[in-house]
Amino acid sequence: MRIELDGLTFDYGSGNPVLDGITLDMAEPQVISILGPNGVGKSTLIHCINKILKPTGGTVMVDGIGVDGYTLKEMARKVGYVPYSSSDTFPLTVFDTVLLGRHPHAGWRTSDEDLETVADVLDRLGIQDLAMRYFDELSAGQRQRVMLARGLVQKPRVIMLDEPTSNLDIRHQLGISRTLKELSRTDGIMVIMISHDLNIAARYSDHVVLMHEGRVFSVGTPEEVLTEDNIREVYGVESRVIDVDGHPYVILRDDDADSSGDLSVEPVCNR
Amino acid sequence: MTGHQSPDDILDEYSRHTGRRFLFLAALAVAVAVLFLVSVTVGTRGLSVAEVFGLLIDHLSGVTYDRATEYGLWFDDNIVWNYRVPRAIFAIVAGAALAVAGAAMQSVMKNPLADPYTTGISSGALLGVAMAMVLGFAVGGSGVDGFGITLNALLFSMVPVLVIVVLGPYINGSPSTLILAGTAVSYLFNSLTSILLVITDQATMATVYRWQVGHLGDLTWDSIPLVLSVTVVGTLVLLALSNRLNVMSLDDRDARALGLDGEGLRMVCLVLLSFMVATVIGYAGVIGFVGLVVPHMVRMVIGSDNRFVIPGSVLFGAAFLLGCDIVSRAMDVSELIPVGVVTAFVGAPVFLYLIVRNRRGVW
Repeated sequence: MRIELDGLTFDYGSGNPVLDGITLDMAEPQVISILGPNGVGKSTLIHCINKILKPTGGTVMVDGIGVDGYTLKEMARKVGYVPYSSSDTFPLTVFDTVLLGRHPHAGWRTSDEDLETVADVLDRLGIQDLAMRYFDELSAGQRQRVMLARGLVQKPRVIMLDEPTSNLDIRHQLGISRTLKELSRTDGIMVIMISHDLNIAARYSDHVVLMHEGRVFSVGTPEEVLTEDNIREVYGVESRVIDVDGHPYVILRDDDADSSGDLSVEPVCNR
Repeated sequence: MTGHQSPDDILDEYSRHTGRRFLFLAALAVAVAVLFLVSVTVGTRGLSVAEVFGLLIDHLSGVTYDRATEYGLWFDDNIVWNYRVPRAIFAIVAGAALAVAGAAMQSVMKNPLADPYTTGISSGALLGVAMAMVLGFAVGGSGVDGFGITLNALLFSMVPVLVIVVLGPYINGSPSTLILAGTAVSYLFNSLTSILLVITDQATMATVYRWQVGHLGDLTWDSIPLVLSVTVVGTLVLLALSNRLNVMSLDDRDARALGLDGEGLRMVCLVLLSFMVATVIGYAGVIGFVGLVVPHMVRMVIGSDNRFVIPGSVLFGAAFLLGCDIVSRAMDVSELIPVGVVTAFVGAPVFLYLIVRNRRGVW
């Protein structure tokens, strides 16, 4: 599986491009994290890969074929997608929610194979107990697993996730990230995830793409990309990067925080 | 839950869940049949239940009465067979059409408030009806009697749909804004209808008024074929699309990522639904709240899966409109209370209750 972007540009019609010439070559099962400040075009980038958006310029090739050569259904069988959040206007049970992910494979009726695939994936992700619960009754961590399950029953070769660890407590952040890493190892899936958590990205990614002003600022292993200089340049934030168990670990600094002065009252927070 | 569930356990549990949903559908089907039988026994002519069923069975087994020698029986048979039965059948078909249209519309617009009213389709159809009756203007030249009114309703109901189709690409994304656009169009149409009512005479105004509220009087066997065929075809198409409707209920981007072009399917569905609704309005006027309330009541019982909400709405819509028609005639046999008044009277409080209770955040 190979995804090649060449000079990819995108703008929403306003004249100033969100993506301004992205060139990337991603291949083979691995975990790739896309990092960068808010509004830098991370979501737009992954939406251009699976035809949610149509690029305004450049080319996007999936397995050697331009994305225009795929129907939406064909694309959905190759590339799974886990959105940042999902609508719960008309909540379904978890089972039926995950079943929606079978649409790219489904005929007019739901087949036994569809049902079995759903049951297997629920079991695999350890959320079989939630099968008959309604989606809107779930916690953020449970929802994230359900959305991941929906992406996996698409049986894709690539799965793209938009901030899968945001809104999750630390235990669930690690749990989801570990699951994604396992998927790349045991199922041979290429995992592309957008992240705001530099340390999660550093700990679990094989490669990191750091974006800045609609362009790729730096690509490489976490050690190569996550440097104090790069973080200062892209985020405008001072940091210290140390090595913990062979992974870079980013400690954020804010030297101005203490200069904002003392409180004029004595704050109270007891139990 | 106790212990670890294997994939087979999940499938078992899911099939039990599915079985319960089928059971609900079966119960609704029984309710429709019972209400049908109740419906044909209610009316101005005080026939007993036994008499009505006797007449029905006789008629179905081919017994005929001579008008000259058996006038009483002939008259009763005529009442039951040519007025009550088609009226009950029409109520079943119209209730099914309105409810299923509401259910599908809510899914494709991703909005729990979508129904033929809020999208302007009803107002368009009503303007068509008013133009036919007040100005004598009917498309196709078949006159105000016959199909003229229905054709007018169909044609004018397409105007809001066209507005939605044409404006769709220019309105920024959200299907909710399409509903606002529909509401704007419907205000415009209602004001045009009002102008027509001002310039017309008392008798026509009273007739148009009945259309405005929705009524089931004056229906005969002639009213059935068109509505029935449009409803059956529309319902079958929606049943076939029910999996896609589930995907459509998601964000348009999510739907695309799952391989479905939401915009295209939404327009196809809207045209289909306005056909179904306009045909009903062409015969019975604007019967409100069926399309809005019935799908939500179904969702409260069996959840939002369209594979079951679509057939559930067909059956529950039929039962609802039949029931409301029975109530309207039971309250006043001379039919001064149009059925639309009863659907609103029942529907509005139910709607309020649903909003307040809002279990499971159906919206």
